[in-house]
Amino acid sequence: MDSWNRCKAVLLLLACVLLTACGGSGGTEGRANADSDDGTIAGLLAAPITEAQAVRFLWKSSFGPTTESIARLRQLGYARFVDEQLAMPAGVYSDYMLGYIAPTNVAAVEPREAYCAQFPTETMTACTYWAYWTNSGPSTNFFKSALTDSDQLRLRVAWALSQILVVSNSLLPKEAYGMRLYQQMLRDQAFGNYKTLLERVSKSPLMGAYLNLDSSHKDAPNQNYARELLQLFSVGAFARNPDGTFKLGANGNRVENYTQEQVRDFSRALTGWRANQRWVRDMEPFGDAHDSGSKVLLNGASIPAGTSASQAMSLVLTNVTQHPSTAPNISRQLIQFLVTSHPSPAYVARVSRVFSSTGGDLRLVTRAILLDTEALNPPEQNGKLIEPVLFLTGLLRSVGFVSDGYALDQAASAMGQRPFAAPSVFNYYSPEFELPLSSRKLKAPQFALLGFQSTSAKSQWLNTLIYSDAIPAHSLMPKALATGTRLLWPDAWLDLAGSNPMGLVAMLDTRLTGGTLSANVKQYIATRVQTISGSSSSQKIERLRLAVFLIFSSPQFLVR
Amino acid sequence: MKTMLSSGVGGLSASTVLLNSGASAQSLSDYKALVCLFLYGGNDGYNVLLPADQSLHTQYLSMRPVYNATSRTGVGVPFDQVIPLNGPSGQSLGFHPSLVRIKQRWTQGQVAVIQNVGNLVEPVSRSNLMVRQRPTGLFAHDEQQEISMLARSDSQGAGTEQGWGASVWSALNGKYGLASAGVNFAMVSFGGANRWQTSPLMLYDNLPPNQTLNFAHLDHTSGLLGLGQSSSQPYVRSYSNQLAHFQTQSTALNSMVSNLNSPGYQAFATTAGGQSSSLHNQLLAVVRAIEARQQLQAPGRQIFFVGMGGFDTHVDQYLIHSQLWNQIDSASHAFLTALESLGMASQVTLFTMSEFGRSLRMNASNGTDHAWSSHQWVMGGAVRGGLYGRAADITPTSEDVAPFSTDVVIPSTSINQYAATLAAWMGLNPTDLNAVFPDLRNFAQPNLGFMNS
Repeated sequence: MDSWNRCKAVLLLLACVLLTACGGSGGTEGRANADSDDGTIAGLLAAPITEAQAVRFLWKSSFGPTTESIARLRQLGYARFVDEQLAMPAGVYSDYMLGYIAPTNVAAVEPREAYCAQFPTETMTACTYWAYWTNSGPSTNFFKSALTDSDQLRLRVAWALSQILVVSNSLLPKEAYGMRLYQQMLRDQAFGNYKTLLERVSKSPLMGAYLNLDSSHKDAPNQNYARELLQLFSVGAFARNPDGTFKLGANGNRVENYTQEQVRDFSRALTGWRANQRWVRDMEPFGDAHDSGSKVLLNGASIPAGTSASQAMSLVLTNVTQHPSTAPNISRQLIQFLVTSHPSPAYVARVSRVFSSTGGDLRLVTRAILLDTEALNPPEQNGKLIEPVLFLTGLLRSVGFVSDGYALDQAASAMGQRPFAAPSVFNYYSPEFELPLSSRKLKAPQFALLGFQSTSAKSQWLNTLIYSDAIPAHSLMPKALATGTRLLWPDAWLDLAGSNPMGLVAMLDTRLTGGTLSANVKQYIATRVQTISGSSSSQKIERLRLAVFLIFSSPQFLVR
Repeated sequence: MKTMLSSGVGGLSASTVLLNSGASAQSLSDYKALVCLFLYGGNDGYNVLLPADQSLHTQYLSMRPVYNATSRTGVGVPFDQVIPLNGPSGQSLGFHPSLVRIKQRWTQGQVAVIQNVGNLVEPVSRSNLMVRQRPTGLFAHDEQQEISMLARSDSQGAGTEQGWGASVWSALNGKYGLASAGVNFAMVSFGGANRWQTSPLMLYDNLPPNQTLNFAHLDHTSGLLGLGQSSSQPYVRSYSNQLAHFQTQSTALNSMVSNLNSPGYQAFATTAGGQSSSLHNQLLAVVRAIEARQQLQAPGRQIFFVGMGGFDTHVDQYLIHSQLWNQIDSASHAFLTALESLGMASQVTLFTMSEFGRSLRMNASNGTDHAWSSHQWVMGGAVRGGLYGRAADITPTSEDVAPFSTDVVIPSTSINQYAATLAAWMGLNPTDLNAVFPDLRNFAQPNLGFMNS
């Protein structure tokens, strides 16, 4: 390609960037479903919200309904509630005793002891365990935040992003600080711009270690990050229409978005970055490690010879963010994480249009996802199986609790979804996983976690959380944070349990599930509750416990 | 091709095959199982298969001073303790003294030793090592464990693919339609979480060995599932059916665990005598699961995973390593004996893997350090016993020795070839094998020949 055509290609690319940044589509900014012709959304947004509706919406937009959040949502209405959540600044994951940075000579123990000496009330064993091993502190503190912090919707989106832009504590040096910083970055960027987010991810020293971009050199470019950037973090393997359906070629097959040669060129374009201070600073260009030759990107774009590592990364990220497959690929997955596993193509198209017309504004995309008819008034066939993390936080937030998060970390681990510990960059489950034992070909990612061990563990942990008076704090948890875990049963619920089991079940159906239990299921649960005679205080709590246990075991609850 | 792998072979996703009754699949008339024994830490294969010829043994001792039980120094096996293999395919070699029973089975033709096998992307040797494709993270435990479990190197994007065990099972499923109403015990681990069986589209059963699995308040919850099974909501119905299935099947699993009189249990326990270990416990669980496969409704092809730690023998290697191999010797013998008592000796194959081998020379702490090439063991009634792969030329400037360290031997046989030979025995044809092991085509011999059909 001669230099004039190369220039033209770059100019064209830049022009595309400029045009979309100006908001080229005609849709009203952020208004969900503005082009819908049925007018239902306006009605849904204007009508008063029942308690049951509030509960159902909070299961989508938070880590579980609380008395306060139900009241707030009903007071503000959907749109203002969502906007209040979108405007809320990012909270901060606790960093207590998580500042240990290992020196580069890995086996040095003394610096760890020097760090831990700052915490004289903690044992050396506890500090080392907490500050060093990646899979304790950050995961437990994630639960702590999900249970109590105010930026609930932001946390939901950050948790979703952590399952797309996966970094897992397998294959990583065991330094909790790095994982904490990466997840905090996702939380900070959750309502920002997708290209900016990808830039932070690409320069992240933790991601650099996980997918080998750190120190990738022009003499031997590592393909790992480039491939996952394309396959998982942006365009996806196969081309999609704006409504999320696959484009089909002339022969009826799916169309690949990129060739192996393009993966190699992307790898070359991303060479030359190195982490200089794990994990505190983003990676920086180093030496002359960057391959500055020309490369072919997607959709006819290219990087001309002579670009720097920074320029090349920016061109790569613009190229993939703007590619037409990225908006539906990412939008569809965010819908899956928040609302439903198998959205209609029209729903995906509505959200995808917001993504592409705003250049990937995640705040507006999130708004479009939640303030859609399919989120507020879903068809009966829609649904998603509640994921283990949400199952656990939702139980505690629904009832009332004290928790330092550690018991939930253990429970989630047994159920196959320990935060930040996915088995691979493919997350705990695939967005394409299909509903088993059904000919309907519905997407159902969370069903991929169901097995003998995980369902037995779920049953046992539900039992432990509900029936224990208190789960003691872990012995190696920092004393300053350790409270153990226990539920705080509301007195009004206990009274109802003693006097009126059917009324209890009806109340809990509204309050916990948002009214998703059918009459025969409610009747069944009330009958079981009544097998416990109900007047003494110990009998009341047993009735209440059984009612909540059965509700949280009900398929009609678990499919939200 | 690469992206197709992550959703199954030949365009079929593992999840869609879950639904197939296998109308277009070939029928399966037999049962086979692979049992992977992973030796975590990097097993020192060069002290398990070692010279039995006097002059070669003397050369061996020059690199590994003989173990002295009084001073507890040295790491070399004394010449008079080596168990010579004898016979045409083992003239100058022998086994570590712990392998008493494995040696007996060797004599019966049930043991294959694959020499100098390791993680490779394409063949490499001393003079081209730095310019050819090779596994990254060569001496790192985590990375090499993953590469051996995936049979892929991360220079090719391997940190992302499913384990080769899962890929093999998925391909078998596509071919034979193994999964009908749901997948029972298709891939089972008694050795904990592992990447070998990991797949984004299908769960493996990670079960504690010989323990029951229980559900709380079954008397209260069983009616709930019944109500859910008749729901018109597809997700509710599917979840209810699956849970009901797990709960019912856990009854079969638990009764298997509680049955201490089954022939397989008795044969294993009797053969093991009083000896026990984590490995014994895990292999016993495998025997019982195989024995109870009909009650458990298991498919005709299963893959099992068991694991042992402790092989990272940098310090005071001799006693630890000897004990570990004594456990392997005892437990594998009890395992194979139990299978024989069930008439299934030719249907189950046990094979070892480890992330890397260890240095040719002893270090300053009476141990050995991380290296690359090692030997692996395959045992069972379907094995075509003998030595496979080739010996290495360990002179410091030979093409078999790494340019950056005279202690590191470069493998001459690849993990891909090793795994593909096992997968072929399970029923995969060359087309399937090339799809499951994309780097296999880089090697001249896709089947090493150590399995009967």
